[in-house]
Amino acid sequence: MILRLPYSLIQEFLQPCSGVVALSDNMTQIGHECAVVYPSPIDKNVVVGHVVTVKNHDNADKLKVCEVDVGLDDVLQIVCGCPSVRPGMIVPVAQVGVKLSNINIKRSKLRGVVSEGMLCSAKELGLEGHDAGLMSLPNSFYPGQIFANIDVFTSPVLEFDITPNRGDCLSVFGLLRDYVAKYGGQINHKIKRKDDFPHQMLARSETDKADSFCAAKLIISSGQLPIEKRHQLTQAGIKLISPVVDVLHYVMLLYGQPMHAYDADQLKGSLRALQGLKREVVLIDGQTIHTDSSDIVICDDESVVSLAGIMGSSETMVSPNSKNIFLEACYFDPSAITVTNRLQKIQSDAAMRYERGVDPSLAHEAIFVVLALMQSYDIASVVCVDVCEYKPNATTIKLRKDQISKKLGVDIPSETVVNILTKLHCLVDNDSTCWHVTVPQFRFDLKQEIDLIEEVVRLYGYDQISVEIESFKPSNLIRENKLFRLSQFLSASGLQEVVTYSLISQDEKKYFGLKKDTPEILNPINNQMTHLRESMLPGLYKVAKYNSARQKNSHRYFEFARVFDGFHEVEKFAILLSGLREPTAIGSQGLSFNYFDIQAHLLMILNTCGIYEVSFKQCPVPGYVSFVDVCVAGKQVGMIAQLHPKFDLSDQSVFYAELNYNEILKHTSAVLYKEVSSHPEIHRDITWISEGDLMSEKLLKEIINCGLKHLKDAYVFDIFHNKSVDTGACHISTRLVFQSIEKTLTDKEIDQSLKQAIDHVCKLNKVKVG
Amino acid sequence: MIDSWIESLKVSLNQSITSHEVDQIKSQYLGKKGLVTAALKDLKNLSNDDKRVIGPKLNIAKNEIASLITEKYTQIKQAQFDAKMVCDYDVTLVGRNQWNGSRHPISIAKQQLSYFMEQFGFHSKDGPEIETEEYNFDALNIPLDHPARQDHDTFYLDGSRLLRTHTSPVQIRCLKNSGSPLRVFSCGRVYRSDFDATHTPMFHQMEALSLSENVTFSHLKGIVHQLLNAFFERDIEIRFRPAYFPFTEPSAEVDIRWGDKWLEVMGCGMVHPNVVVNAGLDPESTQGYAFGVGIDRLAMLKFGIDDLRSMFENNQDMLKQFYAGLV
Repeated sequence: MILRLPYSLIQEFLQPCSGVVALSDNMTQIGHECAVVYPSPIDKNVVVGHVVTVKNHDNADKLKVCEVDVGLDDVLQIVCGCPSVRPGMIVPVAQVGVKLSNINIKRSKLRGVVSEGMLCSAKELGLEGHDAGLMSLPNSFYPGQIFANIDVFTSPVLEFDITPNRGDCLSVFGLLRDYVAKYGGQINHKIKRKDDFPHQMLARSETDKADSFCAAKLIISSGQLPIEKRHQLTQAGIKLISPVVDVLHYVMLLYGQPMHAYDADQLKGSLRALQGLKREVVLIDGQTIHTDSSDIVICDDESVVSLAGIMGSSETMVSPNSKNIFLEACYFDPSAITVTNRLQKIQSDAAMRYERGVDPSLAHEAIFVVLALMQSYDIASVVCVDVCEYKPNATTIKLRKDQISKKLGVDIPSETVVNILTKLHCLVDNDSTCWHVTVPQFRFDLKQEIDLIEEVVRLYGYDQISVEIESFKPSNLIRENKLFRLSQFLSASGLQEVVTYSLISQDEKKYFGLKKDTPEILNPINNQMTHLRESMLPGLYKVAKYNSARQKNSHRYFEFARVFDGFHEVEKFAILLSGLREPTAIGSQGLSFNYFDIQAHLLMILNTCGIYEVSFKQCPVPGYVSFVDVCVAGKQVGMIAQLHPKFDLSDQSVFYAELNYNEILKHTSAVLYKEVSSHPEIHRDITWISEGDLMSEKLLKEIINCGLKHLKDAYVFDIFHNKSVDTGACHISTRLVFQSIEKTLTDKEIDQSLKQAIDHVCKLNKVKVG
Repeated sequence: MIDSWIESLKVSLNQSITSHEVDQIKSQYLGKKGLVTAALKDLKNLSNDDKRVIGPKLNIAKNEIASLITEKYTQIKQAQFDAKMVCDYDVTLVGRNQWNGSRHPISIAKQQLSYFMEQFGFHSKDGPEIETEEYNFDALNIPLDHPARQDHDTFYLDGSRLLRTHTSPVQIRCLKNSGSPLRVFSCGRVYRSDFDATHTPMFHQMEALSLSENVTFSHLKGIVHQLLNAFFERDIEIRFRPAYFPFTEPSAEVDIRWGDKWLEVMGCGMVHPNVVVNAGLDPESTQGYAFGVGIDRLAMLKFGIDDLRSMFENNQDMLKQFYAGLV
C-alpha cells in the first residue's frame, strides 16, 4: 500500500530530522521502500501580498480593482476577477514577469485599468487539491515574503510502499517509531490532547471482532484546519472534504487510526458494533450492498449505519448542512475486515488499514487528539464522549538463541539481539537457551520465531551478513540444452525468434478457425486477451501483419512456447514464413517463400534431433490451401499449412508450421555408427510417368520397401508435368544409389535390382517407365 | 652444327605463343625424327675419336634444349594464369542468404541465466502455467484473506484454477516431489492483470530454490552476487534491503547500482517455515533460500530496452539487433 507523507510533516515530528534524501534512503534500508517526489518549483517572484483595498471596476461588473501590499514602497494595483477577494486577505501574488504554467504575467490594462500582477489560487500555482478561488493565507505570513521559501508549500513528498505485513507503519508516528528504533531520535507528539469532557453512553461493541469502541458527539462551528495542514493532506493524496472530516483524516495520517463521522441528527439512539446482521445498506459511494453474517456492522436503534471499518451509509454521512456530528473510533479484527472486503469488494483507505491491522490501543488516543484539534481550530465543540480503553493481551514468542546464526549464517551478539528487540518495543526475558519475547500489540506480523529473526536482521542490517556459496553437486541441462540449440539453429538459418502473448481473443479464435475448447479467463484485462491459445498462429500472424504494415516484405518467425488443449499444456515450436526469401541478395529478388522452405525448416529441426524417417501426409482441411500432417514413426508430431488467401500479406502466401517438442524428444535416439564403404557408389536414374496422383514420398517408399540388394539411397531429382497431354502425365525422375560394403558392384547385379524395382512399382501403381 | 641448334631453337621459341607451337618445336628437336635424336643415332657411325668429342657435346646440347623447352612451357602456363587473374565482380555486394535470423532478448536472457544456474548445480524443473489456487497461493503461505493475495491481480479460469502469477508454485511441486536436499530452478511465463509501460499481462520469471539442513541467508547473498555479476558480465554493486513476501522470511529485495540510481531486480529470502510445513517437511531440519527474477526486466536492463511492451510487439527492426551469435 502506498503511503504519501509530506516531508514537512515528518520534519514537524522527528527530531533531529535528516535531509529528505537521507531519510528516504534510511527508510528504504529498513524495509520501507521510499521515493522522493519533488513538487514543481514556484517562481521566486510569487510573493505574499496583503490586499489593502478592493474597489469595483468602472467598466466591468465582475472585476475588482485591488491595492495590494507586497512589501514594496508602493502598493500594486491589481485587477482581480475572483468574487471572494476581500480587503485584509493575505494571498499569493504573481508579480509582473512571473511565468505560471499557462500564463505569463505582464503589466497590462484590463478594461482600461492597469493591473500589475495577479492574485493567485492554489491551482494557478500548481498546488492541486485545494479549494477553488483565491488561496487565502493566514496572518502569520507577511507581505513580500517569497512564496517559494515557505517550506510547507515547497516540501517534497515521500512516497512509501508499505509492505502488507506492516500495517503499523501506515502513519507518521508508526513509521517514525520504526525509524527511531534503528536510527535513534525523538518523536515529538506535540498535539496536546484533552480528556476532560462530559461522559455519556454512546456506543458499545457486541462482538469480539470489534473492541475499544470510542465515540463522541459534537456541534459543528465555523473553523477549519489551517491551510498548511490542509496542504499537507492534499500532498498526502487525501481529498479535502469538510472541516470535520479533514481533521479525522489528518489524525489518521499522524496515528493510523481510521475514524468515521456521522450526521448525529440522522442517528437513532446509541451505536452498537455487531456481527451477523443481514441488511441492505446504501454506502457513501452510492452502491447498495447486502450485509452478510460474517460482516461486522455498526447500527443504531433502527438500521445499519456503516459497514464497520470500511464505509458508512449514505443516509448518515456528514453533509454541508450537518449541524451535529457523531464520531466513531474503533478497533476491528483484521481478518474479519479482509473477509468482508473480499466478499463485498469495496475499496477504501480505512478497509486497507484495518486489513493490515490497526493498533487496538489507538482508538482511545486518536479520538482525544481529534477532539483537541476540533476545539482548538473552532471546527466543532464537544458535547460528550464515551471511551473504552484497550486491555492489553500480550503475545509471547520463544526465540532460540542458536536459531539466528543457523538461519542467517552470521553470529549476532546476544546484547545486540536484545537491544534490537527492546528498541522495537518488545519485552525480552532471558533464559539459558531462549529469549521469551513479548511483542507490542501493534505488531500484528510477529507471530512466530522466524518473524523475530527477521526483525533482528532487518535492524542489524542485511549488509552485515557475509557473502558465501554453499557446497553443491554438478547438474546438467539435458532438456534445455537441446531446446537452446534448436532455437540457435533456427535463428542461424535465418529465422527471427519472437515472443507473443499466450492469450488471444474470441474473434481471433474465430478468424483463424480455432475450434478447440481452451480455457477462458473469467476476469480478462481486455477483450483482446480472453482465451488461452491452442495454436501460436494468431500470435505469429499478428507479428507478420505488424511488420508488414511497417514496409517489411520478408517474414520468417519462430516461437517456442506452450499452447493449450483444454487444460493440457503442450510445448511447441511454431514457424511462420511469408514474402520474399532474400529481399537483398543479388539474383534472388522476386523469389518468394513456398511450401518447401517451411518444410525444410521443419526437417532441419527433426534431422538435428536425429530423426530422419519423416513422412508428410496431405489431409485437406477446409479453409487452407494445403494442410499437411508431419509424422514420425506413424505418429503425428506436427503440421504444415499454406493459409487461406484471405491471410495473404502483400499478395504473398503465408505458410505456418508447428512441431510438438515433447513428441520429437520421444523419437530422438542415440547415434550408432554404421561402417562406411570403400567401394564406389553407382547411380541409376529412372523416370516414372504417372497418370494418377502418385506422390513422391509413396513412390520412394515403394522403391525402398521392395528390398533391393545394396540400395543405399533413393531420391527424386526432378518432376515434370506434361501439360501438352490431356492426361497431364507427371514425370518423376528418381535416382537410385547402390553401394556394397564388400565389393564393387557389377552392372549385372544392378540391372537386376532395377528390374525388380520397376516391376514392383508398376504392379502397384498406374505408372510406366520413361 | 650443334651450336646453331641452340640459336635457332631460341629464335623459334621466342616466336611461339601457344603450348601447341612448343610441342611442334619439341618434336622437331627431341622427337623420334628430331634433329638431336638423329644426331645421337649417327654417333655409332663415327670414329671413336669423334665419338669422344661429339658425344658429350651432343648430350650437353640435348639437356640445354630440353630445359629451354620446359622453361618455355612454364612461361606459357604462367601467361595463361595471368590472363585469368582478373576479378570481374563487385566484391562489395552483399552475398546470398545474408538475411540473418535473430534470438529474442527474453530467450537470450533465459538461456544465459539457465547456463549460470547449471554451473552452480541447480537442476531445471518445469511447472504448469495453469495452476491451482492451492499451489499458487495457499501452499506459499498466502491464505485467502491475505492482503498480498489481492495485490497479485490474478487471472482466474474457474473456481480453483488460475494462470500462475509467479513461478514460485514450482517450489511447492519440487518440495512435494523430491523433498530435501533440493537445488532447482525454473523459468517460464507468468500472468498478471496489469498493462502499462512496465507491466504486461504476461511476462517471464526465473525461480530458484536451494534447500538442505544448513543453507543460510549468507549463501543466498553469495549466489545472488554471482548471478548478477555473471549476467551483466561485470562486477555489479548490489544491495539487499528488507522486504516482504509471504513465502520467505527474512525477505529481501535486491537492488543493483545503475548509474546514480538503485534499480530493483529481484525478490528473495529464506523459505518460510510455513511453506516447508505445507509441503509436508520438517522446518527444523529443512531450510534454505529461494529467489525469483523477472527475466524480461533483466533483459531490458542488459540491452537498454525501456518499454516492456516492445518485447512483445516483435518489430523486425528491434528483433534483428539480437543477432543469433549473441548467445
